[in-house]
Amino acid sequence: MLYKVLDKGVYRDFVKALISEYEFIGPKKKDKSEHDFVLIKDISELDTNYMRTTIPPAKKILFPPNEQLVAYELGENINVRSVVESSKKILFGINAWDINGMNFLDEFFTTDFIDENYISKRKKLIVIGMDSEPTETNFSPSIGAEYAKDGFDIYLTELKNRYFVRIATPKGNEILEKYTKVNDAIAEDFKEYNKYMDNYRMKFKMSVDIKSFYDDFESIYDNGDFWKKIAKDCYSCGSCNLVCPTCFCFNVKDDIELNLKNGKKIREWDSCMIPEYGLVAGGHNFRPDKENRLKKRYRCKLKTFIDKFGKYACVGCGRCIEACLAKINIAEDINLVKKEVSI
Amino acid sequence: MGFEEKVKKNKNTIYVPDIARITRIEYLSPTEKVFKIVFDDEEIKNKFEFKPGQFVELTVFGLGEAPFSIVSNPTNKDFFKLCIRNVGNISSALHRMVEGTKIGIRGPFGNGYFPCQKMKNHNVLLIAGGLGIAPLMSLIRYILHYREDYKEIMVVYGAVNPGSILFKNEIQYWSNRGDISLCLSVDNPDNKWTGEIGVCTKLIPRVDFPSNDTYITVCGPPIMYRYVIDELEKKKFKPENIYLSLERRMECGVGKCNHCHIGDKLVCVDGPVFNLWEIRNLKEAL
Amino acid sequence: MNKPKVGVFGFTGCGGCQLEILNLEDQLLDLVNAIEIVHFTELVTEYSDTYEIALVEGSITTKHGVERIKKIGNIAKTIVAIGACAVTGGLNCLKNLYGPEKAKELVYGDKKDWIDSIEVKPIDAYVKVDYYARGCPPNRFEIVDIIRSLIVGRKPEIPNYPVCIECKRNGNTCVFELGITCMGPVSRAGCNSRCPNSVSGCEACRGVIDDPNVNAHKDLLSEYGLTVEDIMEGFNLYNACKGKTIEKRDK
Repeated sequence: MLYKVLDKGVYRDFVKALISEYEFIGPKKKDKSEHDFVLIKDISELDTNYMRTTIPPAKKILFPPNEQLVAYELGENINVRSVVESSKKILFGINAWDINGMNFLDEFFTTDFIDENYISKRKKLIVIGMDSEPTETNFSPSIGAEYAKDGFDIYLTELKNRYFVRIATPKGNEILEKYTKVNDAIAEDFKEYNKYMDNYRMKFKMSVDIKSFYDDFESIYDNGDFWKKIAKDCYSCGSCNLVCPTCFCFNVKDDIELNLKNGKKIREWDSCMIPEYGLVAGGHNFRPDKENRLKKRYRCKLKTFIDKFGKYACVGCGRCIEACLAKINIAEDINLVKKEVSI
Repeated sequence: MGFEEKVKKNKNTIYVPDIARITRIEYLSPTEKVFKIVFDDEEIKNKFEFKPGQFVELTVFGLGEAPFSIVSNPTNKDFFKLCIRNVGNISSALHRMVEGTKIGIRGPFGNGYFPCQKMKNHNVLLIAGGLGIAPLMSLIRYILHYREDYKEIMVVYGAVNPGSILFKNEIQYWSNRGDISLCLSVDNPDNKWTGEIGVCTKLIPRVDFPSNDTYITVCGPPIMYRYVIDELEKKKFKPENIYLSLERRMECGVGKCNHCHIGDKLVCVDGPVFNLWEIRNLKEAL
Repeated sequence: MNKPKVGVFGFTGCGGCQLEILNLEDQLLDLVNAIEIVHFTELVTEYSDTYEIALVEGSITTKHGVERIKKIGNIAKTIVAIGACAVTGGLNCLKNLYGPEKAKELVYGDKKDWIDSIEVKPIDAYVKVDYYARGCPPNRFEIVDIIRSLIVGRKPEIPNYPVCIECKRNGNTCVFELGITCMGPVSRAGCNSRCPNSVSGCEACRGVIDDPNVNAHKDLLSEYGLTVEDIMEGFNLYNACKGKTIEKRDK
């Protein structure tokens, strides 16, 4: 890690240079309530002062909602080939918890088998992080995801008249050297940065005792009434999954053109909250009830990957809470589990 | 050659199937057929190796992909066989296919398989319900191939009715061999049936293998496992010697799509065969 | 592979579903190559009574319609209902809320006896329907997918999950967030969340999913100031003929 400072006076020129040199993905205002990470052609479109995005930016780029995996041509001989997209991009303005979400996906898609479709895009992605305002439902400090310690090339933190720059990779350093001028951070910069982080952490209103869930889950698992109550209003609509920075479930489908010659395999985001998720050929459904599916989701988010990677599959971004029309709130439920178990 | 090596060698991604042909189709019952499959590419064919209990993902081009466990003897290197019940989109398309049709194969998958090496010099009890006989066939055939390495062998197999008993010819051959004992049971007998009646669980109390010298493998419909385990535990069989093949929706086979996950286990990667000791307290597993 | 003979037929409806087929543009030529269209009033002048697949638009609202759909049922091996009117009865079913006689009187006054008009029903009230291309208008790519599935011999995959899934895949801001009410959470997807994509609420034109959480949705809509009548109107707009199922599930 290198620590530098970037003068605010040269910031705009730096960003402009990146926009003209790279395929530049950054936050743009979409409507009165949300921003979306899209291709930015002109700096006037870029609005890093954002709060909400429906779809996590890194997931949108690296693990898009629909993605072709395989192409084939049928005939005398069947010709099958993989389809892998990998173009160089800059992802600009992604916040700490979404970087942590990406770090989770990085680990997931390279464990057991390497998912080339994900990782080839990841290798070519230059990540420039920036803090964004947390929503009221954000509890990332409880998970330790409000601060990114890796996964980015450059992280810019806005101080009074300059940016505090953390450089995590040689690539990040190269870009800064090529397109702008940075100075070494001195003690005063660190002091102001630390003060900034203390204030930033104060902005998060929600907090949960996340460790308790891991310990309490087994004992509350068989309490059917408790889970029924929590899942009562669940629509089984899957919104919570699809907006999640770490949710990765997908379906693979074959599709063939009407000429019955050219076919492809595509994957699309799936959701563990819909009834079909646990259905096997023959008609048996391993999770027919919505309370089982909700329980499964909580387990996957808060327990499974602690056992596997030592990480939560949750960064506390609060998107699932905001997306849920039934007002199912993972943060409140974590606290509820603790309360229920301690009775 | 494992699946991963093959992917690396061909510079493919894990989602690309290899082309193979259905070279023979055997009729087993009105709903089940056995498909003999041979890879087109000589090198892939020669290097395809699997262990009893593993499965492959089969692509019907234009339709989609589904997991099937391998039923043939792993010592056969030129081909492998799948026993497929006509229940879904892919399987019904397969049932309409003729010999010579080309399909796609990925795999073999599963790091959990039946430990035929460990079972050597012990008794082996195989318990199957319905189509659950299919994954066990590969193991039975392997054991019979190296029969002298194993002690007593017993197959307990329950089917819905006499017509739905699979691999009848082979079962006949076993009873002719005399070195493998067989307990067959059906839920709904016809008037010609002279064997056992009821669920196969009922036959377990009669097994007289010593509990400290017996490996047990189980495969059947989801509802069967709890009852079988109860019976086995009553007989004091050790959980660490009991292996269960679990069915889940294994869509990608490579631990990515997550449909088959049970807690921190993925059936496609960590299974599909699990040791009872590992999963006895894993919620949702049994 | 033999080209299946296909007939396209219209009953009471706006004809928009048939136009959706013509709107296929890029895929239309491929479609015409893959099948043989023997009857399609909007496209060809010839017509034939020999076909294997019937694509049927519109609901059955007249005695004459009953006879025609039964005849189609006798000829076609496979019947595909296309569009909300054919699938659920659609908007036309709103007539049933008045009763057929009252409705006739309201519209035609003293000439009401001239009119052949009966209670509105979806086509599966009279013939066995194999597949449903839901929606108003139906998703034309889904119609193609059903035809393609029939050619290659698989069951078409018609989603049984709510519109929210597609809406989120499309990265839309939830319209509730923007103060608009939406039937998306209980409505069957497959339209690629067409309405929310253009910032308007879903109207459940593809019907509701198999197990909708109606109670939760009533609570939610009433929070947004809708009365019970408004809410029922929302459910009934495209589903009045099948509205009873919704009421039953509610209890």
